[in-house]
Amino acid sequence: MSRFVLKRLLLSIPVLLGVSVVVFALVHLAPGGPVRVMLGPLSNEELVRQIRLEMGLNRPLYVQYGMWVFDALQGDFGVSWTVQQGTPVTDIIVERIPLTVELSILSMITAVLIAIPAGIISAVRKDKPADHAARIAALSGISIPDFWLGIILIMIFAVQFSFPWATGGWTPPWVDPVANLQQLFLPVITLGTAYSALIARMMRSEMLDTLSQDYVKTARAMGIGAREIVLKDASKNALIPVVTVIGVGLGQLMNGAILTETVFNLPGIGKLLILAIDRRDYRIIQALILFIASVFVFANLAVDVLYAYLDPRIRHDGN
Amino acid sequence: MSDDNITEINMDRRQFIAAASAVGAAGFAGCTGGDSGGSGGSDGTETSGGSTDSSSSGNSGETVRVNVALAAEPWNFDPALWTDTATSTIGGLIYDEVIELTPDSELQPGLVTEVPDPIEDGTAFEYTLREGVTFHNGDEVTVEDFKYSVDWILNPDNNSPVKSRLPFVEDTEIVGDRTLRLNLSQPFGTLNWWLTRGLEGIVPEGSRGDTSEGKGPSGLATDLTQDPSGAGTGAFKFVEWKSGSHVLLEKNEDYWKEGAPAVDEFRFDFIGEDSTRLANLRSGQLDLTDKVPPKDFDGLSSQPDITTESVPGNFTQVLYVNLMESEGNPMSNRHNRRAVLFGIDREEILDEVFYGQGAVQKGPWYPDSDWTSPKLKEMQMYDPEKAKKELELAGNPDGFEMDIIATKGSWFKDEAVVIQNQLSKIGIEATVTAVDKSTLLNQVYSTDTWHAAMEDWAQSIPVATSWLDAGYADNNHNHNNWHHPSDDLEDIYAPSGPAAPEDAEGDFSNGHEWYVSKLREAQASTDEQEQKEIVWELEEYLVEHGIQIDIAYVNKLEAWRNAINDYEVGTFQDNYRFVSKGE
Repeated sequence: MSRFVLKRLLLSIPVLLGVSVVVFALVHLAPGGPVRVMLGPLSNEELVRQIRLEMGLNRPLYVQYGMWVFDALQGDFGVSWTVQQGTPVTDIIVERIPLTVELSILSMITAVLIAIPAGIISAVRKDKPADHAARIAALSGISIPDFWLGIILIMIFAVQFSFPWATGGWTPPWVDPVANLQQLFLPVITLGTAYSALIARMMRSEMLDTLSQDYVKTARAMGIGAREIVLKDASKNALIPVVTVIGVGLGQLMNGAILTETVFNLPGIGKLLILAIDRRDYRIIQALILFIASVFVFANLAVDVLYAYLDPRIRHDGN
Repeated sequence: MSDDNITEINMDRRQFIAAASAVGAAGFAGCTGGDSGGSGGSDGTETSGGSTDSSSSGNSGETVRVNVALAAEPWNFDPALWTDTATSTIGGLIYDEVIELTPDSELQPGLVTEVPDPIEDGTAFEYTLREGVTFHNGDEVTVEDFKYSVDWILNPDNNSPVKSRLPFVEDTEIVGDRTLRLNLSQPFGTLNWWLTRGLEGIVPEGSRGDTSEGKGPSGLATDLTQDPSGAGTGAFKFVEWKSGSHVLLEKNEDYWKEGAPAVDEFRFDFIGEDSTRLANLRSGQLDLTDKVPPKDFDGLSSQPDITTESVPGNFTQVLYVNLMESEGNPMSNRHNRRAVLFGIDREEILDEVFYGQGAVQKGPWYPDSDWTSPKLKEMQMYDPEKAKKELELAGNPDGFEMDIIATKGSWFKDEAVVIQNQLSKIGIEATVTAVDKSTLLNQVYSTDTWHAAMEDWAQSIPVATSWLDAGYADNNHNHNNWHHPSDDLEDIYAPSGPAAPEDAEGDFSNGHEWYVSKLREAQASTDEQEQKEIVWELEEYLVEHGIQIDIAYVNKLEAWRNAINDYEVGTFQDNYRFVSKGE
């Protein structure tokens, strides 16, 4: 197993390097740039040129990329140009990570808590009203855009019922855990709902597949109770592919957080990314995308390891 | 195994529902109970959302806080570096302008004792500081601080983007204990108006520190950029700036103006999403918000606990046109431009896109202003028949094809689509492409391949000559690629646009050279009537030749809870300094 983990870790290096090249190229090749955004549309051309020169933006792209990678490997992503001018990028991102990570984890927990039981019930009660209800709910959950659901929840809870915590904002859990949970309640529902729908559908499908397996029939023939079969045997096996979806989903939730953070005015990395793109802060965009890509890579690695643990038939040593 | 057999776990479902209900109820109870809205903010840890307990009062002993939402986030808090309105709104409470602009667009002395008249034939101005004004660090404001603040902007090594707001100012000299003289390279009668945006604060001498060490390129950051503590003179002191969330200010007990500040704290939350901002206002989490979307204005106005105000705004909706004779560019032809000018029904755009909140333009300046040419005021701007005649004069009676680029977001694409439909009625087939703002700016200001661009333009100085200067006069950099030959004309540009008027006095290579010359004449004059007549002539020339297609001024829409008092909204300047908050 350790060989496998080490191999995957080494493989993640070219993946992240590839991501960095693509992101750097896309960001720099897009028309426009931070200087014009920073100085305003009618800024003096001489001033624009001078600042571009000082920023190093007139150098060949490969030189800029090389310098950026060299600094990044030492943990130096430079200072922000247009978001928090003059502040180190790492400070800005580190300040925002806790919120997004908390939002993503709570959303995932919520999604799993809703989806797994719903998927099991739906499979066990196939084509019965409970199944239909679960499937309609799942389809709705997938179809409803996050930002729309967020706005509707704000309108209901904040405007109609005047709950002060419903309008967003974030208090760190180490400052006031109650206020923290209150403020994240609606964002977590918003973000978790869509993902729970996806997991529920996956769980239902896997459960149906598992329930038709020979070992389930054998167990039934041996007189084992339906509850025990479903909860102890079938659901455990059905969970294996679902774990993959959950693991990859953690990375996707970070992406989903972009809209949720915007709607609920949460100062996490999603909202930061939007602002950085809007203001063409190349350094923040590059560092954030690299961070999100790293989350994807390591979440996948964790899933693979967990996969092997859950299913002993799976071996990662090539045999 | 049949499904029927599996129904044995019916009890599990009930148990599951019961358990889920219990968990949900418990969660909900937890969410509704207890103190709400966070921990107050002044501890530097809460990062967003209103704080209900500390802001709602007027009762003695409680902190009275005004919660304001801004649609945009500030850039920095160094008055020599910011150029945006969001920062200016907050910065206006931390610092004081040297010359203030009132909400009624009048000049009044800020940190100086009076608004001075020009001396030395308009080539110098002398400003005398008030006595007894102190910085938030307790030090008195001196003329040396004043000189430092202006010189820092003028120093080309510092790359201050504000320098362009001190036009023709060459240097400064201290001419008295409290008096600073600004020497100009040429007469410039309207300098005081420009100073309202050019000197938005005086800071302590040396407070900016080294501009480049560890802060990135010059022009980007100083010691005041992120933390202006102690450097302001304004009604409120800087407490914290949580990026992405809010800025918190506390009152300056030693403020020099009578009657201000009237509350303990101001908190500005940055909420870009319109519906979230309005929901916060409706629920009482916010006291005040800027940028109410036109579509929501009437609905908000009908709420009994909310006050709304609509005043003429300083944002003009514009269709920029490319005057350069690049390949396939129909806009280099004057008659084609005039066909577009008369083919656009501005009233329809105002109604369809802005719900009637604004004023149709008849030239570059406000339609009801004395500074708008009387001839233009009489002109019928939407005239399809005239547009068709212009097409005939252009030699393409059946119309032509053109591209319109529009900024994504806001309403620019909607405007462009309405224009597209209107122009199709006279045979002009426009293709609309939405791009992000940065891309649009890059195309318009750095290329000659575009035809027309839908954007807006905000001018912060309420002087017609300033408006006619920005966007038109700079030979190398203007909205419409309008240039005259000169030694410093960039290689990517070429002389463009119509000839100078036939009766123009002097020898001009083309209309742009004449335009700039006349504009400088108006700016140098101190005779208002003379200025006006030149401005009218320039405005008529711009419309006559379709140099730019002005559409409409959009109203500034703001809303606040009824508990907020003494908030003044103006076209160019709002005033938060005297805001108070009742029950």
